Amino acid sequence: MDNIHKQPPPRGLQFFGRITSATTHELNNIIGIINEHAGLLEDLAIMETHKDSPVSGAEQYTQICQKISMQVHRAKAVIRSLNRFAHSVDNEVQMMDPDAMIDLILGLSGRVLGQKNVKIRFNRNENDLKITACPFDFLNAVYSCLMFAADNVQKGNTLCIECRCTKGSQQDISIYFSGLLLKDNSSFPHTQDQLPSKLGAQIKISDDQLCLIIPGTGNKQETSG
Amino acid sequence: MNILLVDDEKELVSTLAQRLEFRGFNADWAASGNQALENAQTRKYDVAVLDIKMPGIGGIELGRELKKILPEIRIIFCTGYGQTKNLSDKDSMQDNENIYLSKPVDINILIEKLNMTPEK
Repeated sequence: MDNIHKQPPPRGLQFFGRITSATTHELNNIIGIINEHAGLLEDLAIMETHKDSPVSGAEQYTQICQKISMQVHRAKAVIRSLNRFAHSVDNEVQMMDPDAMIDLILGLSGRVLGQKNVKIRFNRNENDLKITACPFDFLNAVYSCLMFAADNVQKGNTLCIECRCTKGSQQDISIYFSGLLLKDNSSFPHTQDQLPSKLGAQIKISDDQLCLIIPGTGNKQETSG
Repeated sequence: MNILLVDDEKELVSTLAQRLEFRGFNADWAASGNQALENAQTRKYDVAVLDIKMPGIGGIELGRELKKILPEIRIIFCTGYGQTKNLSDKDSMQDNENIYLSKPVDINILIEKLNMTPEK
């Protein structure tokens, strides 16, 4: 029984935990900002009833309301991403747009990447790429590589992300994480370990780049005409 | 009372500072640990209110560094869910050394903690 408790949770659950932890923290911060603005409105309303009030009136109230509205939009974006993430377990396998999935994981990781002080440039593929895979495992694999890359980005550099069809193949998707400075690759095998085995993904690494290859079931959608 | 508020959410920390000013406190704010340490070099603060999770220097480390510059400073930590045990269902918690407030912070509870007599 003790052994069961000592075992770490399955990797998929760890990923689920990290994402929900980061996003709920962000939502909590948004609520915090709205809470302060609501409190400020209340303070100003009370002060306005007194003589010699420093409150300038409608303009200040309007500015605060606009700030609250911006936070509501920010919260809606987080909730939308979290909802899409929750639906990533609906189907074991489905056809997806890998760029849209990378967008989703970048949105969900925004707070963690901010904590790491990492700037991201995501270059979307001009072609309409599609991949058929398990959405949750796909997100998990991209997240593992993204976190490894974010921890190894060259100081002052931007982490560039790009998804391509692998040359000579209509089926493999390769996601490149560039701008790295890999002094010590000791944590790299650990990252490879974290990839969901069912996905059959591989990592290739060079001095300044990590490449996540997701094989087999992906294919480039041909455009007619 | 001079207070230093530190949180990487600028909008949150600047608004809270403004509200504390309305209530008669001298409240400065910083959006990073480095900025907070710079402020502490030039102004004497009685209390620092620190977010625990921030990019760069986190709140716990920042608290230690501020104590080196201002040994008398009192520290109040603010935290989201799950960063301190036993705080998830409460607004505040205190151990032998520190005060912890749950985010979003209730300004009345914060003021109560700010006004507490420091233990000698």
